[in-house]
Amino acid sequence: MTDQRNLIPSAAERPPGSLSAPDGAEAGRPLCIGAGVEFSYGKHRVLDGCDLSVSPRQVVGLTGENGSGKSTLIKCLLGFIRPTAGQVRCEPRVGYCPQENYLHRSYAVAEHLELVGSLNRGGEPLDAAWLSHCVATLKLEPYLSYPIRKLSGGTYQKVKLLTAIVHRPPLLVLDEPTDGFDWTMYLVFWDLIAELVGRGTGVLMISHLLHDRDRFDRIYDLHDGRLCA
Amino acid sequence: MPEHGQRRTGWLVFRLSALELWRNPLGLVLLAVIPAVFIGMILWTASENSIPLKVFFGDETVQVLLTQRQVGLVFVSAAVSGFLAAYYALILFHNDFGYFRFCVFMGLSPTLFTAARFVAFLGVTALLAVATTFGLGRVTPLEQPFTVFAGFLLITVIYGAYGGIVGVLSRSFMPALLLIVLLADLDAAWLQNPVYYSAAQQSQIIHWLPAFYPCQMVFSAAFTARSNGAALGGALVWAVATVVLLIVAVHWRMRGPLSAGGRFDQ
Repeated sequence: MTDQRNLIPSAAERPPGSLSAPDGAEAGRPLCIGAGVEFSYGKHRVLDGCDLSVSPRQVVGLTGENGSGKSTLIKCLLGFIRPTAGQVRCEPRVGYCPQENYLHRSYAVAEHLELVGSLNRGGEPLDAAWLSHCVATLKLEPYLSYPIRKLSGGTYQKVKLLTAIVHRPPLLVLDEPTDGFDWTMYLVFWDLIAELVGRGTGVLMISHLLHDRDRFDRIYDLHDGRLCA
Repeated sequence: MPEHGQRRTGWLVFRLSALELWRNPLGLVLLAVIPAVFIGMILWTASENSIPLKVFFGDETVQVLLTQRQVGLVFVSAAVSGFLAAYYALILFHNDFGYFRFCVFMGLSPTLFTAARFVAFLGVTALLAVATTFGLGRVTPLEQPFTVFAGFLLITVIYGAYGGIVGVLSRSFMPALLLIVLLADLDAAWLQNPVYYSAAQQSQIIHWLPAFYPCQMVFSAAFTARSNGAALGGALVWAVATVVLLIVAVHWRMRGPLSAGGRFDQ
C-alpha cells in the first residue's frame, strides 16, 4: 500500500508540470492524486487513464453507472489494489467508508466505537467531545448498546459513517455513504460534511445519484473507464 | 515493550475476542451438548469387559488391559475436546475477519491483533483441557492427572490451530466447518481409537496424524504410572508446527487490505 502512495513525488520534488492537479488544487496541496490510473479485471479494462485530485476543503463527487469502476478507482487511490498503469498518492490519514458491510456483527455499537477510537492512523488522537457530538448528531445514542447485527440498514450506515469520521481525518473517502438514510438524516449528513470541510478536510464521495450538485466543488463522471470533470 | 495505547488496544481486542466466543450461541450449545451426548452414550452403553490395548512409548509398545468404558471415555474425551477447540478457533480466525482487516487499515497493528487473538485462543484451549481433565477424572480414575491435562492441552492446541488455519484460508464458514469435522472424525474419532490402533495392520500411517502423539500421551498418563517422553516430544512438535502455520496464515490474511483487494466483507 505504501509503495503506491510513494510513487508520486511530493509537490516540492516534482518537476514542473508533472502530475499537476486539475483545478482546485490551489486550495492547498492535494490530499489525493491519481494520474493516468488504469486498471483491468483480466481483459476487461475498467479504468483507462483516470486523472483525479482532492484538495483540502474540497468536496469532490464521483458518479457513474453501476459497475462503471467507481469503487475500483477508489481502491486504487487508497492502495487496496495496484493499478496496472498510472500513479497514485493519497494522504495516509484517511477516513474511509466502504460500500460493503464490514462491521463486526457480535459487537455492540459502543464496543466497536471503543475499538476504532483506540486506533489512530497517524492522525489526531480521539477527541471525546467530537465523538459525542457526532453520536448525538447522527442520533446514535439509543443504539450504543445494540449488537451491530440487530441494527437497521440506515443505522448500520450511520455507524459506518461515524467510523470514517471518528478521527476527523484530513481526507475522507466515502463510497455511497447515504445508502439507507432518510431525508432528515441525509441533511444531517451534509451538515457533518460541511463541519469537517470547514476544519480543512477534503472529501471524495462516490454516488451514482448526486441530488445536490451545488454541494460539490467538482464532480467527476466515470464512463467507459474515463473520467470527465 | 508496547506503549500504553497499544497495550490498551491489545487488551481491548482480547476482551472483545472473549466476548465474541461468549456471544456465540451455537458454540455454547455445542459445548454443552457434544460432551453430554458422547460421554453419556459411553456411560450408558460401554461394558466393564477388559480389552488388551497397545500404548506407544517410543521404542517400545506397552500392552495394558483396560475396560471398554475406560477406553471409550478417554478416547471420546480427546475427540470431543479436539473438535470443540477447532470450532472455537474457527470462530476466532474466520468470522468477521474482514472487520479486523479494516481495523488494520485504521491503524491496528497486525502483530498486536495476532497476539491478542492468540491469548484468547490459548485461553480457550486451556479451559477446554481443564474441563475435559476434570470431567474425565470424575468418571474414571486417572494415574497422572497433570500429564493427562497436558495431553488434552496439546490436543486442543493442535486441533485448535488446525481449525484456525482452515478458518483463515477458507472464504466460507460451512466448508471450513466440514473440513474440521472431516479431520476430527477421521483422526481423533476413528483412527486414534485405541482398539482400532492396537489391531491396525498399518499403524505407521496413524502415527503421522496430528492426534496420535497427544492421544498416546493421554492414554499412557491416564492408565500407567510411566512417563512418555516420545509421545510428549511428538505432540510438542505437532503443536509448535501447527501454531507457527496458524501465525503465518493469520499474518498473510492480515498483512493489509491488499490481501483481499480492498474488500472488507470477507
